[in-house]
Amino acid sequence: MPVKPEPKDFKARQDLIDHVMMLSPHVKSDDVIASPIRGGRIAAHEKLAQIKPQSYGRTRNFLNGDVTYLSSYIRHGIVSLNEVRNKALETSDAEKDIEKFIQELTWRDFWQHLYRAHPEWIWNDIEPYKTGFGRDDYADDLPEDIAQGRTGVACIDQFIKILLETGYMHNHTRMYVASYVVHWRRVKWQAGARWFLHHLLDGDPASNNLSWQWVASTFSNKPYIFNLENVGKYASEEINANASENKVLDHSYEDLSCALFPQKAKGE
Amino acid sequence: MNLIWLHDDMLGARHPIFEAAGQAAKIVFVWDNDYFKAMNYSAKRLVFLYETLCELECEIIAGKAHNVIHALITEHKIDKIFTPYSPNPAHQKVMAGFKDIQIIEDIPFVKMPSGIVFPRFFRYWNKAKKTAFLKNGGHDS
Repeated sequence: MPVKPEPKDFKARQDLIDHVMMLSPHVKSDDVIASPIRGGRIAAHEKLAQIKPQSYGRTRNFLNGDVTYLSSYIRHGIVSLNEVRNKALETSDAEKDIEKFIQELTWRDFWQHLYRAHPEWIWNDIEPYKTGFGRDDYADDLPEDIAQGRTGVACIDQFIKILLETGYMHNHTRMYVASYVVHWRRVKWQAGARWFLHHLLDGDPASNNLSWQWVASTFSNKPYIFNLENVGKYASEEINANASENKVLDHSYEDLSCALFPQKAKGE
Repeated sequence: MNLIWLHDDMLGARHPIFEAAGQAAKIVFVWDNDYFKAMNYSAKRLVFLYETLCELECEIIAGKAHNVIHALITEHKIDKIFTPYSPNPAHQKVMAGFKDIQIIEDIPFVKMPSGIVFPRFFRYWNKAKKTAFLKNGGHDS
C-alpha cells in the first residue's frame, strides 16, 4: 500500500496544532499544547542574527542576560554548532571577546562526545552520590507538587511554570530546579531528567541527563546547591525572591550543606 | 533513487548527507509515535518538530520508522538509504535493521584526537580550543 505524506501547508498555526494532535492523540491531554517558541529554520535564523556573543559572556548567568535562545534549534540540528560558531566569529576579531560563548558551544559538543562514547551513562549513575546518601535514599518518582509547580517555594514554582508553559528555561534556572528536586526533595536525578526531557524543547539526553548528574554529584565532585541570596543576585525583577515565600532557600551555604547533607557533615 | 531518512537529531538543510545522497534523493521524516512515547515528548515538543518539518524539504510520513522505510524501499525501488549519524540508541536500532545503510556524519565542531574519550570538560576544552575559534573548526567547508 503506498505511503501517504502528511500535509505541510496550514492556513494558521492552530490548524497545524490540530493536525499534530490528530496524528499523536496520546499528547492531546497535555495542559499546554504548544509553546510560544516556533520551530523551524526561519525562527532559528532570526535568533541567530541577533546573537551578541560578547554580552553573552558578561551576562549569561543572569536570568535576563543576553542568552541566544538557540538551544531548541541546535538540539534538533536545525542550525548546527558550526553555523553558530561561524556567526559568532563574524561579531569580533578578538578571541577573548567571544571565548565564553564558544566555550559554551563546546560544552554541547562535549556532552555529545560522551553520549557517543558512553551511551550507558545517560540513564545510569556514573559515580556514587557525594551527598552522604546512597541511591536508595532517593525517591524514584517525581512528586506531583513539583511536576505541577506547586511546591510552595515561590521562585521555584515560577521557574517550573515557565518550563511548563514555554518548554524553555534559562540554564541557571535549570540548575536551581534540578538542585531543589535532588537535594531539597531527595528525588533521584533520573526522575527529574525525564520530566525535563518531556517539557524542554531543547531536551537532549546527553546535555540534560549529564547536567542532572552534575547537579546530583553522580558526575561531579560535590553536589550543586544554591541559596536565596544567589537567586536574588541573578534573577530578574519578576522573580519572587522574598525570604518569607522561599524559606527553605533562605540560609547560608554552610547551613544548607549541614541541613541537606547531614551524613556528609558527620563523615567529614 | 536514493532515500534520506531524517530523524529528530538532524533537521537542518545544511549537512554533508545531502551531497552524499545526491540531489535526486527522496527525503523523509517518519512521524513515529512509538519513538515519541519512548522519548516521552510532550505536545509542545511535537508541535515544535512539526513546524520545523514544514520548513524543511522532506516528506512527513506517519508510522513506525522501520516499517515506513521498508515500504518506501519497495515502492520507490530505492538504491541506497542515507541517514545522519545519531548517538541515540533508538535511532541506531532502526539503522541496524537495514543492511548497507549509509550513516553520514556532520563536519566535526572541532578537531579532536580520535579514539580518546575525555571524561571531564576542562580536558576536552584544552584540545578543542585549538580549533574552536576557527571557521568550520579548521575543516574545509
